[in-house]
Amino acid sequence: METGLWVTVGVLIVVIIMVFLAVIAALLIKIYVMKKSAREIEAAFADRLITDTNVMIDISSRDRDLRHLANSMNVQLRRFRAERRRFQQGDLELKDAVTNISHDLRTPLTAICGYLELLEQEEKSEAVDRYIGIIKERTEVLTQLSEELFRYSVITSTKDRMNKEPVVINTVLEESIAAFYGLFTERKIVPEIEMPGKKVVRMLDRSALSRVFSNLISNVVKYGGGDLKVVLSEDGEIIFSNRASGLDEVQAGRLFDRFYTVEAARRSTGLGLAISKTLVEEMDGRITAKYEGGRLSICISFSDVDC
Amino acid sequence: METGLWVTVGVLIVVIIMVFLAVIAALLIKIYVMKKSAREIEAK
Repeated sequence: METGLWVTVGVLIVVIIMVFLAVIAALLIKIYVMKKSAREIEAAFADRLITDTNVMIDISSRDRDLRHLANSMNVQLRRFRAERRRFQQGDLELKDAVTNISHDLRTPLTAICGYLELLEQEEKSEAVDRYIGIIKERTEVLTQLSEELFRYSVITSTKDRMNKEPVVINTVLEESIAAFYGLFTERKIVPEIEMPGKKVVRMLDRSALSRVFSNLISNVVKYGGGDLKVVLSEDGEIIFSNRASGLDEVQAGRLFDRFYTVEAARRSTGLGLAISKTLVEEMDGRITAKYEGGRLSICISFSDVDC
Repeated sequence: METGLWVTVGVLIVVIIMVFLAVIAALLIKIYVMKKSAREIEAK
């Protein structure tokens, strides 16, 4: 009798322990599945944000709250996708419109410039001469703006059409600097150039690189403080630096924004550096501006990939 | 002696039950907090 009671108590304890262990195991499994679903939602949400797909978030858990969360995230994703599509369509239409408008502006502007030149040859009073001078100056600004706007819209709407080939950066840089020889002489700028003896070769679009260098040098000539230092390092980093008064670090950080101009460059369209940035990024490079001790340094770097 | 043994066994059973109940309570709280967070995220 005594032994039977002990056996019963023992069995009871084991049963209790087993029941509790089963409950704990079930709860642990529930927590594991919930955590797994949370990770699934996190990964799927991050993935759906960057990829353009109609696949919705699906989770392995049957938990009501997590399913609700996934559903509401799917609703938000659908809205986000519709907005993104609307934005892309609008952006495309805007780019097309800008391209067409800037292209259409060039024809009448060319005619205006031509007639202004003819008008300049005519006999006229001093006041008329002054007025014509002002009209000519404004027309030149407008021509430059429409040209750059056209160039910018063409560049931004024709992505992935870079003709990449092994390019010797030293050569392109030398050619670009040499092309400005006349302007350097006119502005009494003596460029200080540092280049390695070794050829620095990268997979780039030659004409795009040349345009980037020309834009930067042109900016230095037009709005710089009368000096220019160009340093090309063996790791593919090119630094253009010049004195730039009236600039600060915040302005330097905004130089690559579209239509951004500083006080010293009021006549600029504010598109040259935006074009340069777009081109450099399309060639998988990086362009940054730094303002330190009254000097503006623009640094371009191209990663070293096998050419 | 006999009574003392029964008391020990009873206390042991109670302790085991308490420990398991504490663990289960902790797990339930964890699940509740996770569900609450999910509802909060959904609401926001």
